[in-house]
Amino acid sequence: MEPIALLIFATCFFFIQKLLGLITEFIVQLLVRYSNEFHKVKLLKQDRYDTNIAKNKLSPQDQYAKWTKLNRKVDQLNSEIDTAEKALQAKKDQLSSSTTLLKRLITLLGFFIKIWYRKTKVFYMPNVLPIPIVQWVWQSGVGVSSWLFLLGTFVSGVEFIYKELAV
Amino acid sequence: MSDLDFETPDPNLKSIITHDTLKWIFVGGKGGVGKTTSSSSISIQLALNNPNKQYLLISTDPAHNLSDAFGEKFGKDARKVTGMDNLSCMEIDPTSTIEDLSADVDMDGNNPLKGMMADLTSSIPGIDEALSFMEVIKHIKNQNSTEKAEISYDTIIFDTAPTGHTLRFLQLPQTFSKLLAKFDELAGQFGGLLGSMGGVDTNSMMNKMTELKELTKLINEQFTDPDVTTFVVVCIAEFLSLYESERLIQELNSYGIDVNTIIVNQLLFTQKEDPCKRCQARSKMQNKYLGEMDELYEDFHLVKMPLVNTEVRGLEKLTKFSKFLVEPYVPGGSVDLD
Repeated sequence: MEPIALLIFATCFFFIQKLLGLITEFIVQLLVRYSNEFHKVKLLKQDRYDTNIAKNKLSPQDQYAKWTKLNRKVDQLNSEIDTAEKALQAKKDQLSSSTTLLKRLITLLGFFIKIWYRKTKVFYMPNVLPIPIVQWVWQSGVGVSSWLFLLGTFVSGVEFIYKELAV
Repeated sequence: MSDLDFETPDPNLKSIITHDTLKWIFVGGKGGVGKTTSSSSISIQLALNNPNKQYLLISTDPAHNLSDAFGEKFGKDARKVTGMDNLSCMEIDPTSTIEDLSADVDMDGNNPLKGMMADLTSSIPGIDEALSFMEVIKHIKNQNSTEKAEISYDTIIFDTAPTGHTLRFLQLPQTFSKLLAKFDELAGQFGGLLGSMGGVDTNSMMNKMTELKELTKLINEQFTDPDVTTFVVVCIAEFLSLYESERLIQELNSYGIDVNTIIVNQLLFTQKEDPCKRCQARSKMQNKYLGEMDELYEDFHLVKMPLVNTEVRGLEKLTKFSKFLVEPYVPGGSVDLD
């Protein structure tokens, strides 16, 4: 494969890999979002919120029995929410694990590309500095592994900055 | 079963007093609500109504009151109450028990570290609960033992410390089980290493651990069996006491410990014609909380005890007072114990 074609192929592969990761994550989130488990947690949390509002409107000294009954209900809802959240997490894990095969295949393909084209240079750096060691490093060129590593580091950096700014 | 079929439990302690299988009765609640008076009264009623059985009342509260309640000195060894043939009392004392234990181990009386170690150990947080637990183990062993060297008690009543301590004590069997399981795991991994160390008798240690594990399992089983163990909550008709009792009941339910009796102490039952305005106001407040309790604990035995005209101290007064546990006080009746 021509270096420029390999460069384009490796770059496209990298972004497709990233995109597939995002798409599978999005699909998992979507499936979780519309699952019965999520719906149950949402209903329980809404119920707890309403109960707490009703409880806080009462004076425990003046309406002890009513207040205590609501307090018991909050305790019960807390334990039900714990159980429902565990079920939801199990659902998430189950859906995530169903995409594991696809992720492994892509990772394997990445390894294959790196090994198959290990000796092919995707481009060479311009020889600008007259220092022998720098010239030697420059002349040896940039391989697929290094290029994918550089891309990965760059995208991770951008992601990090975006997340920090978003927060 | 429809609501119409539901029978409100009797407002007395007859179900506990006439119970044949109960081995452990815990009496607990907020500080200052009359736990010691209630536990002493329950013990007296049990002893009077079942003369062929032996009862032991143990105080696990670090600030013991049993001696004061009965007006005679009790120590770390069970001693019969003067005037009662089948009721004994004891107060768990961490300092002297630890001194005894260290005396067994080290006979050198001149060792300056001995006293210091006893003082240090007795001040460890939770040591009272641990020693109470040891006492439970001792009695369980005694129940199972074929040799009847010591008196075997049919029922042991615990006058517990305020709520926090009591919950910690009741959690001990479960904590112990987890700890011993961890120890088993470690012994499996480092057993060889322990064996190669000089002076450590691993076999005897492992045997003791296995025995302790079995006893802890038995305690766990007994404490969660409503036919063997029950908890009596004591409170007064005031918000803080009721709130703490509710918390205690919920915690006990989560441990699987049976709780179906509440003693409400210090009730005024002021009559309408009583000129005392303060009594009327407090009685009104107490009646309000009693109404709320009737609604909340409809499936509990709610025993309402009057505020009497004197301090309930000494066997005679305790016996008189304890009658209200069996035959509930009728408002307007005498509260004179003298």
